[in-house]
Amino acid sequence: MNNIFIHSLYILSGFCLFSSIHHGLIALRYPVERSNLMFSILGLALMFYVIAKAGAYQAGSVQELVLMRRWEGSFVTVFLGFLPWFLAEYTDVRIRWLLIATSILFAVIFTANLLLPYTIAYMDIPEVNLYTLPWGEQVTDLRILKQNIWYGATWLGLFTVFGYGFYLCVVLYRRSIRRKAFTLGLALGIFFAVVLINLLINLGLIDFVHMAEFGFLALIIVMSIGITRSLQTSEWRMRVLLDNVPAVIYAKDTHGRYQLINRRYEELFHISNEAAFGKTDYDLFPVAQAEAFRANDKQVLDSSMAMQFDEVTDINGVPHEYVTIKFPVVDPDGAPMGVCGISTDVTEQHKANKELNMLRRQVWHADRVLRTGIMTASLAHELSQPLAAILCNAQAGLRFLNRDTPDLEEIREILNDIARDDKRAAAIIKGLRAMLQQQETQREHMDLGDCISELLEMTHTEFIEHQIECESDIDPDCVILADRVQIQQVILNILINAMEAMKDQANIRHSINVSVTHLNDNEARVSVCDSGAGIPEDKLDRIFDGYYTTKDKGLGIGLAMCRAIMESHSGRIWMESNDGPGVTVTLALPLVVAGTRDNRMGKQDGSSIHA
Amino acid sequence: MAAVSMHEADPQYGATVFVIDDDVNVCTSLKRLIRSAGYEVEVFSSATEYLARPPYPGTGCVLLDVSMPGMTGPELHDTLVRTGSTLPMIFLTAHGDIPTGVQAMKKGAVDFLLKPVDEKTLFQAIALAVERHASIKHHKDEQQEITTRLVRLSFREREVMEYVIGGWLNKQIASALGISEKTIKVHRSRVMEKMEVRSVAELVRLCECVNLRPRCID
Repeated sequence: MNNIFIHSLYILSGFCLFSSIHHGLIALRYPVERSNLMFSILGLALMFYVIAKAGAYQAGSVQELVLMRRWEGSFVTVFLGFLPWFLAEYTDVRIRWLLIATSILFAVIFTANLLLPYTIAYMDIPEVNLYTLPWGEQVTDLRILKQNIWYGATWLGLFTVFGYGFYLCVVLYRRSIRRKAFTLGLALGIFFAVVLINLLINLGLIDFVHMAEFGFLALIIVMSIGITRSLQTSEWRMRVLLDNVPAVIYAKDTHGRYQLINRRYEELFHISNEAAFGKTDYDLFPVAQAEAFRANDKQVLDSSMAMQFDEVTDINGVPHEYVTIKFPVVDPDGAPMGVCGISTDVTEQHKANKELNMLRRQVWHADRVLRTGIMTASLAHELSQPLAAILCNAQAGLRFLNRDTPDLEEIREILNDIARDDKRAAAIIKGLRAMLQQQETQREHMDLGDCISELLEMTHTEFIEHQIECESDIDPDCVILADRVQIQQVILNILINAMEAMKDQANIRHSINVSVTHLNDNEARVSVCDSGAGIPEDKLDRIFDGYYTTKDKGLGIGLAMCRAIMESHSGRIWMESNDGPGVTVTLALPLVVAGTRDNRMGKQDGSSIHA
Repeated sequence: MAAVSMHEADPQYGATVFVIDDDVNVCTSLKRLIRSAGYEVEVFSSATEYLARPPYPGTGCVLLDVSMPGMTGPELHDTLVRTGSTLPMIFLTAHGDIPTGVQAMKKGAVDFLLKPVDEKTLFQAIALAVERHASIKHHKDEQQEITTRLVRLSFREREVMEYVIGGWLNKQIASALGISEKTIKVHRSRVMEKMEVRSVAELVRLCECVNLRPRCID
């Protein structure tokens, strides 16, 4: 029992070592948290300090005492020199000049401590005295009753550190980081109290041995707990973050075994994080779905790239659609560890989209009826042309028959022409009916050139009415898979826009040029080039956006609808300004067959309504 | 006199109908039908094509569409009237709006027909137009003839003729011109000879035809 004080010092040094190693390991694991590294250094310095101190308490001669106290002084200056840096790191509040100044001060004290004959503490030590502790243990008396002037520098440094520390507490408190402020305040408070007691002992006002080591102990314990807590806090924050994300988040290893799921996952699939750990999709989902998930995971692992998938899974028996982003998780060496997925439920959006599409179709229909109304006059004209030809031919035929010697050849020709004009009229009516009907899209292989010629036929009169010259250059070998009516609607829309753009342009030769080409085997292009007022360059980008219009009375639906139709055909639509007046609108559509005319739907029997 | 009154026979025969329509099929059918009624037919697919044709000296009419690419029907009508063509116009349109029709009729179109047109209506219009053209042409030819005869007269003969158609006696004319009555008689017989007329009444008619006014003696 007689060595209890000395032993407690060794135990204290052991604790310091443990703390140093503990935080050193944390520093290695999380290199970002530099306060741990600082704390590890502090712990190590403190350990050596305590060992030196224990040595000093057992010193038998003056030389031994001086040696031990020199060691002690060296380590304590190292400790105090690092303490402000640690505090700066811990609180994230850095006053650079103060840090450097204290470091320089302690470096000077460190040097002085090594050079002065009796260390910075003592003026001189005539002999070694023993001090008897209350429980009878005898230790060397380390009290410094006649202090070296350099000792003041140590106090200066110490109070600077305290001042800085308490200032940091206030800053943290003001920033509402209360817990950290309290931890730091408590540690510094204990430390400060012990140092004060030490000072009083040195001044001879209290009769006892130095107790500073235990102040350091308090500092170490409180700060160690504080740092560990803050680390736990950041982990806890991560977890809270994951749990509060309204998406399903999970991580699986390379074998598809769940490593982590977030709360949303837990709630939706009625399984806890712990229960899910180590399970695979096959344990949690029907085989077909699990296989689909696994295939997606494998794809991500094989490609080492983040990918997006549309996944479907049943939740309480109702199929839900998810958009899932999966990405590979790799260790610091780049070796794959597993797959992490973030799935967002888009069932509602899809439903809303479907409704929106339906609405769009209705609006488009209304729009179409409106436009068809505009064109009724020209359609009537188109229809009366073949009817006029039929009537004239029939009556001419009758007159020829009434002659004494009817010219049968002439009559045959007449009948042929009547048949042709009748088909032409029928085609126009069919086109009109198709335009007025609101039907689900019907994709068919069709000749893009025919489709557009047919439309130009219908708009022919409209052009004449507006004094617009329409030229067309049609490549006959463009077959696409598309809805004829929709494609015609797109072109019609563009043509009507072009006509409207040219309406207000006086004194300019109005022309529209429609061309159908295929540049390569993959893509057919339709270009409509007008000589209208054009569109300002800065508005070209937005022209296809819904509810955006450059017209006074426009709804901004036409071109948006055009784009929607083109996109539904895997096509594109864009608008460019011409070198001269006007703009060119180009449609690009995927080609089905280019070149051979045989494997296409035949529409070349002379019934087409080319004029 | 026989030379002046030509084309007394059916005006339809030998008349040409010029069909202008941008629709080839309509043109062909119209050509067939109109030809079957005994007219000559020429078709043109645009106004410019028609204008490029050399002037037609015979009788006929123009049957044209209202809306055509390039120059429209009414515009062609205006151009033809300006250049002094006398060929009557018949408009044929798919959608006849009243203003266009009224405008066309005001400018002297014979008819404004709607497609599809019945042969009866069409032939009536063509017959009317050709008849009108024939009479215009007859009148014009006569004027032409009279003018050529008038040119043959000397200045004095012309003077004497103007007094004669005013109903003045030879004596009065002689005193007005300050020459002998005998000389007037000679002039007068030469006028009758050169104008190829047998009576003063006939001479008066010819002069009225070319708007030649009689001279007065104060």
